[in-house]
Amino acid sequence: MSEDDIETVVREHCVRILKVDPCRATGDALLREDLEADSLDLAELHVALEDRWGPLPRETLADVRTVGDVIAKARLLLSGSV
Amino acid sequence: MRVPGFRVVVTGLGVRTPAGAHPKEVWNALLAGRSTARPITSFDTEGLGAGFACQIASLDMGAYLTAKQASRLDRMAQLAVCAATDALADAGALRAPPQRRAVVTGTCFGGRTTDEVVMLGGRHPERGDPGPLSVPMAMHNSAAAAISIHHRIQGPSLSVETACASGSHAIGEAGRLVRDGYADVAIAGGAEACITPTVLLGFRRCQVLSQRDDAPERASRPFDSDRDGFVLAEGAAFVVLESLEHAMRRDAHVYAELTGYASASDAHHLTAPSPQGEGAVRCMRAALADAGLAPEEIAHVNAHGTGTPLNDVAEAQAINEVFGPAKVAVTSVKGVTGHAIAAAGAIEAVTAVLSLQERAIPPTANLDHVDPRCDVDVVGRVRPMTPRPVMSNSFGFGGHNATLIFSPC
Repeated sequence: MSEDDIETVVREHCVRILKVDPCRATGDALLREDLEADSLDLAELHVALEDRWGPLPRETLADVRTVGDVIAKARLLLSGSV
Repeated sequence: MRVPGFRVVVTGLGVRTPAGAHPKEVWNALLAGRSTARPITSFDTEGLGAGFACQIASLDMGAYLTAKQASRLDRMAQLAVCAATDALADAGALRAPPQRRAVVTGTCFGGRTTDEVVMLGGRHPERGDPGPLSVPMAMHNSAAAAISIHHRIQGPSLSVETACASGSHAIGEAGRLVRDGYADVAIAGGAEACITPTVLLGFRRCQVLSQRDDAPERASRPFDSDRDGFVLAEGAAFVVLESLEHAMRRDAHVYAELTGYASASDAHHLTAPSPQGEGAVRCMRAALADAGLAPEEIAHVNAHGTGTPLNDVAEAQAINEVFGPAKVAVTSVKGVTGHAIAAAGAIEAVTAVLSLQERAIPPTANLDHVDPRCDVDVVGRVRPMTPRPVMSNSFGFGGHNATLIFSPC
């Protein structure tokens, strides 16, 4: 999967789970402060990413702050370097 | 309520039922005597043995919750939030601080739609496919939680589960919280959204559902000779209860006083009522005693009246035992609304209160010939009523009985 595809998938999940307009899910959008994500949303996002890419470590999204952080994390995981 | 304490009054009503989303709408549907049973179109009923129910056609949450808030609630809790919010709006601005407000809800199946999607969906039949929201959406207290969160209710928030009596028990127990001084205001009622393939099949196999597939609108016929079971329904209804003092301080419109409540158990059988409705007799008598009323002071009984052969006979026998043979008018609104399980008692509590306002007894729909074994005065056509106390019964699988009495105030 290309880096652009990964970004597309993550953004789509963020938009669907957080019920926000796609234009708000920019790379630097703060998940909690800007997009009103809470712990349940991040748990949903985690499951959605696992459904797509297989089991992920529990702490995968523990320290993400922005949509871009999630995209970077996904790229890192899929590159096999984590 | 006779136990010394605060007098408890009803100051707000809210409903979401197949017969309407406003109390007046429901009342008019009851007067018209038109059943709301229709063929089910929301899922394939092939092989389920019953293909109709009383469903709410459209549910627009837009005026109540954001899309994200709504997506975190099962249909059951969505219905509850709509009806409870309407009841609170009807009651007007409250004075009690959040810590002095309570919510008591009743449900039987909880977030059943969520449960079924989780259990039956996905690629792992042995464990389903639960997401992070499956537990908070399926849990039976989700309606109480949602109402507490959305209306900042910081006193007691509880869910009562007594099957088909849940809604009445919720209102009665909430009334006790106010009477006994644990809360100044309580929002109470029931909600159910269980028209799903497994619930329909389970009830059908219990042999309690009407199978009148050729004429769904004639299927729910409480106390009629040709009844063959109940018609499954969904819905929610809530009342705002508050101490009379609190209501007077804020100059609220008072619909009625909750003067009597009793809860009694058959201790007999998992599904069948006790012989001659003995548990129901004790429950009605205890409610009368709670209200300090004699049987002859009751204007009419809003019966549980499900339309199952067993319930209606036992309830009629119990009513005759308490009131004397054919001494009190009896009606069942389930001919119109169907049986909304845990919401039923709350819907009927609202209709009992409305009958005091409207000074009329709504008719029992589809009543062609009263079953001779149900030898009570069943109201088949709308009947004028002097404003006197009204009794509402609910009985649940497991032998849970609840009786409420509302009086003019």
